[in-house]
Amino acid sequence: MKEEKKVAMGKPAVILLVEDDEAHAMLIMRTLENAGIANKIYWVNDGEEALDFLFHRGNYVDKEKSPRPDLILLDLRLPKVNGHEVLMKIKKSEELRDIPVVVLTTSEDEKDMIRAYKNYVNSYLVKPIDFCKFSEMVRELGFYWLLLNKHP
Amino acid sequence: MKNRINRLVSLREGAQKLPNGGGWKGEEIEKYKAFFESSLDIIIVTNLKGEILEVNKAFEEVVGYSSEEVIGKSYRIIMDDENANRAFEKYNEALRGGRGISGLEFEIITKSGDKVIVEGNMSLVREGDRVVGFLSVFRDITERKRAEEELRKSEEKYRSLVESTDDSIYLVDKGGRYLFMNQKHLSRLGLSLDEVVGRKYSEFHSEEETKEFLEKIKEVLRSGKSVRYEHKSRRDNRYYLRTLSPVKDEKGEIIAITVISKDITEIRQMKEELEAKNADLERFTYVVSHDLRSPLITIQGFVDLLRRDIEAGDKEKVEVDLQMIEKAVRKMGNLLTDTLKLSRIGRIVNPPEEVPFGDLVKEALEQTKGEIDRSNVEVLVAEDFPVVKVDSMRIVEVLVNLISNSIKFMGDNPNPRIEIGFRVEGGETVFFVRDNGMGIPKEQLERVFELFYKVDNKSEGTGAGLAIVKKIIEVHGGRIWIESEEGKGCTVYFTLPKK
Repeated sequence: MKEEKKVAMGKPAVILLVEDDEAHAMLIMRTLENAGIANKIYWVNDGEEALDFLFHRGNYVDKEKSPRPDLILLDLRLPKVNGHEVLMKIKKSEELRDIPVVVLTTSEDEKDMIRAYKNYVNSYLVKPIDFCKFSEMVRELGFYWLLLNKHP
Repeated sequence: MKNRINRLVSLREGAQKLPNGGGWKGEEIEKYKAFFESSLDIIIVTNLKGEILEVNKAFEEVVGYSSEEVIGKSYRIIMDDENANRAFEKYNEALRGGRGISGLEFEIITKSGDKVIVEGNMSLVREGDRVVGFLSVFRDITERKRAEEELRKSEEKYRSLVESTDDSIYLVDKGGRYLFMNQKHLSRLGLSLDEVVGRKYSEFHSEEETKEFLEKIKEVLRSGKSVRYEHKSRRDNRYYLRTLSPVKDEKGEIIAITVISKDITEIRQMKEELEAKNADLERFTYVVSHDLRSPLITIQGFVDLLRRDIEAGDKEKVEVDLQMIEKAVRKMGNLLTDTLKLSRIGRIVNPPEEVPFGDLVKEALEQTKGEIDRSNVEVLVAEDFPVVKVDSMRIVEVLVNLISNSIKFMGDNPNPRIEIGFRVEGGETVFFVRDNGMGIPKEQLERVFELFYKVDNKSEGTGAGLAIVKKIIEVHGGRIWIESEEGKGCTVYFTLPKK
């Protein structure tokens, strides 16, 4: 834990959280905070806003307000533009495709899973109902993608 | 020998003079006696009065009487009245014509009372230029007759099997030439059997259909087994399940192909409906399981955080945790209510009644009066609405839903307006609810009828409203669609069955 915190402090990680459910977003953010993983978490609640953030459009023209994330946590069932489309646009973009995208969803549907992997998702996780497991999952995925995993 | 002469003498009694027309001479009978005796056919010689003068061994065997028992007796001893009278007429006819008669058929009654069917011919017996009697040769055809009758019965049985069915049945040769066709199929083609037999499949079907049919025949010939396939008829646009089966001769060689064609149009439709319903159900399960899971995660999560925040004595956070839990519980309750509502729509509770559509609009406006007044919306309602035959309560629910949606998504238009009207399009009445609110982005138009889909995440409600509306309209047999331009408002259209 100590070591991880040190690493985290050494290099502030930016996470973009795309989640339409406010409560879930709060749970994820608090878990990451408690684990001391991410220094900066940006939360958007629909697919269109996520794309605006990533491509510096609309309310996010100012690049100061929309730094390039080190990790994207993406829900699938989103208003306006759904998660699959957001994922596809990220992975099609020369500039964004190397950012790890983790789908974090309530959908256990195989079709969703297959489609996400076909669109080059880096990881696919189903939210467990049990909060202990849920927070553990969020913590671990944070550690893995931001700390353990070596990235250019 | 003396006996025999006596009989010939009696033959001469009552002899008639007739022109010479062939037949037997009295003495010839004597001459061929041995031959007659060995014949397997029954031979009877009678005089002109019909008294039996001579019978052979075959007669004794078949009819059961010995020659002694019948000689001197009338031929009527072996026949019932009907047959005997007919025989009498025939023999008279022979006498008049002066020549024998062939192709006779009689029923003989044996000594034991059994009936024997015989067929044969009769010749005249002559003495010089006079006819003195008859010589009849009969063959027992009882067995053959019975076999024929059985064949007829069995043919009748199979014919009724082929003709009483609702399926089309026909027989073709290996080249697709019709050999037989049942009435059912003939009436489908509007032809008679004579017009079809010997003609080719291709003469009554399109090139494409013929190609398919001949291909299937080839498959039967190749495999020696039945081939089954679905066929869409160009004639009536209906679907048929065809079974082509080989007909083999005793050597096992295929000589023809039977085709049994069953109309499966209704079955197909039902299958399609069922598949659509299944797909619906699958989508429904997917959405419900996804959406019901979310609040559970929230509750579980904040209960855990709550415990920690209480321990830490962070009152502010405790309050937030409790609020989140309450909200999730409420959301879950609403989701369940709406899900239940949706599942109930399938079964219309109230029987459809004829009601002026205007009355339903009035009722819906009554129910939404509070919202309308608060939002200051101007409502325009058309006049002279037609009468519809619907479940009134449900359609009011549709209108209430659409009106409150319009109010909810009115945006910041300074002159908010809702218009409820109808138009007649191609003989169909299309009702609509139109607003001049914020509208819906084009790419989301298709999704608004999805269960729990929300255009605006911050809006109240579960997102089940339009799914419920759509289901109600569809249960009524109508269609519903939406048109919108972002920023300019949107219009929901729907159709309903006429009275």
